[in-house]
Amino acid sequence: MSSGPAALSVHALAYHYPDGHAALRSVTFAAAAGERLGLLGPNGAGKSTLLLHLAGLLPERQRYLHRHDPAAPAHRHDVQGRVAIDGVVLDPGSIRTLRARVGIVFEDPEDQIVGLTVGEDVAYGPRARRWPLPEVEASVRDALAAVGLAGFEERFPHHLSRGERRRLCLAGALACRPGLLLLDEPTSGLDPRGRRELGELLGRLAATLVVASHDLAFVAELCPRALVLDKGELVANGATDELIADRELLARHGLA
Amino acid sequence: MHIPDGFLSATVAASTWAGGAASLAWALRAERSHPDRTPAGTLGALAAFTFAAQLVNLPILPGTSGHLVGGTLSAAIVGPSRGLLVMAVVLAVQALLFQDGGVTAYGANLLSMGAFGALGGYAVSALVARLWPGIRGLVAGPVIGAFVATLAGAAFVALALSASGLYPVAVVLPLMLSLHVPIALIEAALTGAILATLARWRPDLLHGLQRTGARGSAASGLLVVALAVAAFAAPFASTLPDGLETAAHRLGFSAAARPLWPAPAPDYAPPWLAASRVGTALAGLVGTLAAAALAWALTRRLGHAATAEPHR
Amino acid sequence: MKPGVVLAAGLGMTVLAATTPAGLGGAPVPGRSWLVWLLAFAAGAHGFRSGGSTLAQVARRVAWLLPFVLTLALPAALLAASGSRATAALALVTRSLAATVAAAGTAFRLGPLGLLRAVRALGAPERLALVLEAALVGLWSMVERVRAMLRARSARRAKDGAWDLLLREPSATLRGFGRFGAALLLRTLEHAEAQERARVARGADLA
Repeated sequence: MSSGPAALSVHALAYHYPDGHAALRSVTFAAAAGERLGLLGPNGAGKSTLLLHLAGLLPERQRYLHRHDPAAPAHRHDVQGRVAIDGVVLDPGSIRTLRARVGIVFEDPEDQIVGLTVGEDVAYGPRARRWPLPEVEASVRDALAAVGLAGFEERFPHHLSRGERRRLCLAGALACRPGLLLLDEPTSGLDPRGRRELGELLGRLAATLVVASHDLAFVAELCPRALVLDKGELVANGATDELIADRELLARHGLA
Repeated sequence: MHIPDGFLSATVAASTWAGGAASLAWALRAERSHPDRTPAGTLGALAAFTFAAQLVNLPILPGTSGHLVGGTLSAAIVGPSRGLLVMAVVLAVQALLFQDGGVTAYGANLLSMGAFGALGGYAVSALVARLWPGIRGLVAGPVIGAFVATLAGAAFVALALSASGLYPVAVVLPLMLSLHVPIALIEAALTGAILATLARWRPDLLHGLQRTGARGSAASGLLVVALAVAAFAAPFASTLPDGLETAAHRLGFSAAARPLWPAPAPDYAPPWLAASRVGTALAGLVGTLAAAALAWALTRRLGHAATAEPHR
Repeated sequence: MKPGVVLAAGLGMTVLAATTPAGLGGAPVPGRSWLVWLLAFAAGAHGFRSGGSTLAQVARRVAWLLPFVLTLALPAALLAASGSRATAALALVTRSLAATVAAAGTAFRLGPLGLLRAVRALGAPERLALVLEAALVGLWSMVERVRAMLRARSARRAKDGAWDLLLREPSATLRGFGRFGAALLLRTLEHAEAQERARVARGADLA
């Protein structure tokens, strides 16, 4: 498995939740290794669902026996469309190896802090990958330094400020040295300085980035290219500057 | 009741630790072979919830409050073996970080609140749920289960304290049981209140009792009920306290702590002792009727719909 | 010192203190018992001090137990041979508190992370250690959540307390508690689900 930035390709990806709600309808796009891609769209557009697919956390659901209507018979259907990372298609056989290449940072820090101390939390991923102890320690140190939390190893997560917790979550993902990094609303709740520092930090990373956000200015500065998702459909894919300049497009899809 | 350190004799502490460890080993093996996998994080979260729920004090009278212990509640949600695991972690955290329950007494506390609480409570819940099908039984079961399990646990604690040489069993057993009838009713009420609300909002979460294999549990439930009844009836069997003292002596318990007063001769019983026996039995009877009434009242508004299917 | 060693030593001291004779069954309290309990207090106090706690804080941690310990100890002492009842009562209370302080000091010195490491080092089954870890991680946010929910309840009610007396208004009190408990449980389980997803994302099933 190669290290370094990962190339991403998504073809005709479709997904509905077990209650029948269609979250994604035939989404197709690609990102080159090292590219920074923005993902724009109103609430409920399916951005988070798409990120969960790219992280390899959702695809299995559709194969379960389920029913959209309590009265209807249960059924299952195949995953529709495909996601490929570095050319390898995400399927039950490859999912674990591919997940090791992807880092995801969810919107709410409380949902993803799993360690008793900052150091324990960041070390979770490297330890799960059974890296040798010196490598675990090095990756933790590097990740904390990258997010500006150097020396915080012994602190308790619940003593950190909101901004510090967000950076802790990012460190947790970075420690795994992902080729593809997915971020869901990374700037929500951050003050202007926090936003700026986060933007600079992400700009320094070598990994391929997909950033789902309402924060148009943030995405414009960080990501040369962006996608617009609305009601599960990909409605635009192009240079971020041009998309943001198109006020009619933004208005039509609840972004302005 | 969390027994503190320093009241159990070395022998009782060691044997209850062995019993507790054995029940834990069983639980770990049983849940490993279970087809559904419950993530450790979920059980840990349930343990944290149980711990926090125990902090919420419900005022009963001015100056007195009660709180939930939660063994039967946990078992109703995640099943008996996982319920025991949850209680084991709750009790360990309480003992080590909050000095609620002793370290040497951990085995006894685990048996009392974990084995009797989670396993025994589950067994009785399964029995009741079999006799009372549908969603009402899924809530009424744990109400009765929590009541019986709390009393069985209290009887166990009384026996442990007595075997440690602190008090004669003829005194402590009826006393503990009588004191625990209102406590058991509170446990039943709080357990039922939470489960009844849960049954309205998310019936799919009550899958602890919805598993197959409840038949064996129902049989165990009968056993637990029988034990609880025996605990209440025991003081009437005047030879029993002597029997227990003799058994304790033979097993070597009293070598560590001689009986504090001579076991009453079979044909002698101080009048107040007799009164306390009747009082205890009466308390047990009234309590059981109250628990049944509680179970009925808490489930009154639940639909008669069949068990909710797990939402996939 | 390694956490496993600290825990083993501390628990050993606790067990010793808790099972040293305290004058039950008519026997006098041996002199060595007092020595053992003194050592246990000292060991516990040392544990607290090395964790940065003052003696007053230590006292507060165990003071709440005193009524309960007295309730258990006094009747037992009363039943001891006359002439030594006071000594037996004192010995029982001392025994309980000494063992408790020894255990508490050990746990305080280790802290939650140290305790977890110690428990693993002493050979606890991994499944148990994982549940313990998740419980410790969830504990703080849980207590915060409960406090916030209780505050919200109190704020909404006209009366003083968050609950009516159970005996005065049983139905309303129970229903309120049921809703509170169920709401807290649901939030806890949903939160646990999100955290499990985060763990899987970071490689939980690779291990």
